[in-house]
Amino acid sequence: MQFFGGSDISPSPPAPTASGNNAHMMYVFNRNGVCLLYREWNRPLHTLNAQQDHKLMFGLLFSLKSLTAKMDPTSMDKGNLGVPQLPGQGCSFHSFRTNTYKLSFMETPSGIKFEIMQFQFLGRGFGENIRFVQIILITHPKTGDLRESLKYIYNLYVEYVVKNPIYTPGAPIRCELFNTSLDQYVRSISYLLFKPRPSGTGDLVLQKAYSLMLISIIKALISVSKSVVKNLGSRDILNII
Amino acid sequence: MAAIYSLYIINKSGGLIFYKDYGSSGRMDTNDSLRVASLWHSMHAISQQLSPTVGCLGIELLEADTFDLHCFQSLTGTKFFVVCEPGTQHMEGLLKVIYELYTDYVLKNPFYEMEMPIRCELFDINLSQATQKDRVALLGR
Amino acid sequence: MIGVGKIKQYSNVLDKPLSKGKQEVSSSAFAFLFSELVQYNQTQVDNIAELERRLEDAGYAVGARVLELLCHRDKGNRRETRLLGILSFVHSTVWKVLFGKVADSLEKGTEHEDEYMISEKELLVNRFISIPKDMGTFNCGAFVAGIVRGVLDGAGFPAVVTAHFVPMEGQHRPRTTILIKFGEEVLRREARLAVPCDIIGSLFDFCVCSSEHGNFNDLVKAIIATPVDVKYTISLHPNSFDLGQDELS
Repeated sequence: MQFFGGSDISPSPPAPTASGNNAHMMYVFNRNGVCLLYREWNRPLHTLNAQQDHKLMFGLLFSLKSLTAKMDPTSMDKGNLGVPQLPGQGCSFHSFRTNTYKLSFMETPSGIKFEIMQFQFLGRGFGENIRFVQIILITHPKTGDLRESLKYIYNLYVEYVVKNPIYTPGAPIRCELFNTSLDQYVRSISYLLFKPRPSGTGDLVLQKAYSLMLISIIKALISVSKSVVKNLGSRDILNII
Repeated sequence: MAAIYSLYIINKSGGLIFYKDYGSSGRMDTNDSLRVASLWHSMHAISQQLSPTVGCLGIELLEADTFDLHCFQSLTGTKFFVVCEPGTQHMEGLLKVIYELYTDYVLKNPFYEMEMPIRCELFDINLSQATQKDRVALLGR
Repeated sequence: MIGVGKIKQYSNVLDKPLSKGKQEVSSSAFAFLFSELVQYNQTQVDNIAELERRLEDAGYAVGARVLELLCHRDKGNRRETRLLGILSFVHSTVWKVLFGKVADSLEKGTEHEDEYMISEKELLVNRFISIPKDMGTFNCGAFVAGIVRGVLDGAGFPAVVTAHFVPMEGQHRPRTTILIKFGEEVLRREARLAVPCDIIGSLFDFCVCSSEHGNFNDLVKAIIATPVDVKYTISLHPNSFDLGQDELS
């Protein structure tokens, strides 16, 4: 554990921040723009084929990063537009929102020297920084801040992918354990089971979801009470409810 | 420190037609602001392509480490965006107000040529009033 | 059948009462139309003076019609014959019909006797217009100047009317002043009108009015000698400028 200091999975995953979280898809890229992982949970619209889609996404993030670095109103020296910057250098961004989705973005922090040494030590670095990835999560536009959730997903990656001896750095991720734990976690984010509506009716749907939850809780209560108080009359059950 | 760092207006083909800086450090020169504008124009278009659902109208809010960027696109494709401190409130309202000023003092001006840089004294005067801090705060009501 | 009786059908269109018309017009619609008017005229001219002239001509046509309409509607087919009367008619009645308000001020020029100024803090036509620096002192108020000229000309007060920006202290924007310089004959007529007005009374104003080039003393004599029934006739047609000296004597 010492080599990967700080990579322990935090004991409890951060609770979903806002109600109505609903994940659409997720991308993991490495530094060279290779899409290591693409997971899709809810995507009705496909405008491009998978490969082009990944390229476009990586390009968008790359350009947005150079845009934010150039626009940074707090620093004097911003370099030139379009010149690639080292991770952690310059002003980056963590999310953007459109009317139909929200994209949360995380880039693992730098510390490159240290990492390369680690991999040389492990003997399988190939000069590539395996721990340097970009994680992109696309969710419902009303989702709150997902920075903590992305950190948690990154921890999952470190635990199940980086530490997997069979995994070749730079290759698409095919780790069963990672995928299942990821699905599980994302499902816990999108715990309200309704389809996102782009506008207006959000609150109403939310109420509906809550009432559905309430109904199922009551139903469960009834069944529990039935089994517990089998010997009592039906009138008593009603009284309990 | 100013709550709003800068304001951009770009026409429907991505050309910068208005840029105003309200005191960000390391001011951009004309070439850089033009490049940033056209880059934003294309990023805005790409973000629509990547939408998981239909009806995407492009980026409304970009949250960077040191600033927020709020963008509003009119029906005709003119984009207005402000760069402000992270978490600044009422920016959507402010963008609507700026759009209104644009329609009033730019589009109704017979000496303004469509899609060209905005040089209207009245627009400048009213804009500087609208972006005053206390006025922006009033938008929340 | 509710509502049918409300609209009375007139067989003859001339029997129909003259309606007050719609009192309000969308300011945006006007602004865009005016903007197009300026843009169109800009394509037709080589220099700014010519543009100003064309706008003034467009306004002149409006002014002539407005005078006709307002005299018929508000004044029972009468019209002002005195200088101050027509000026206050422009300043209040015309302004109110065109811009929904009375003009901010009406002043007499300090340097010249024949100059009057109507000033407006924010002229409606200039509300959304920023003049580019390279156009100098050009003012789209030329259109309004044209309207004023149209009204004055139609009422028999030929004048040269121009629009100017006048910077105001403590204000972002300069105000627009419509400068009216009356023709010589108007001033002469006004001077002649001023005396009998006090001595004989307003009934004779019109007679004097009508004989611009006649000898004043002769005219007074003629009026005094005129039988009562003729005076009566004159008062029935107070607006008639064509009432010649021949008829009087």
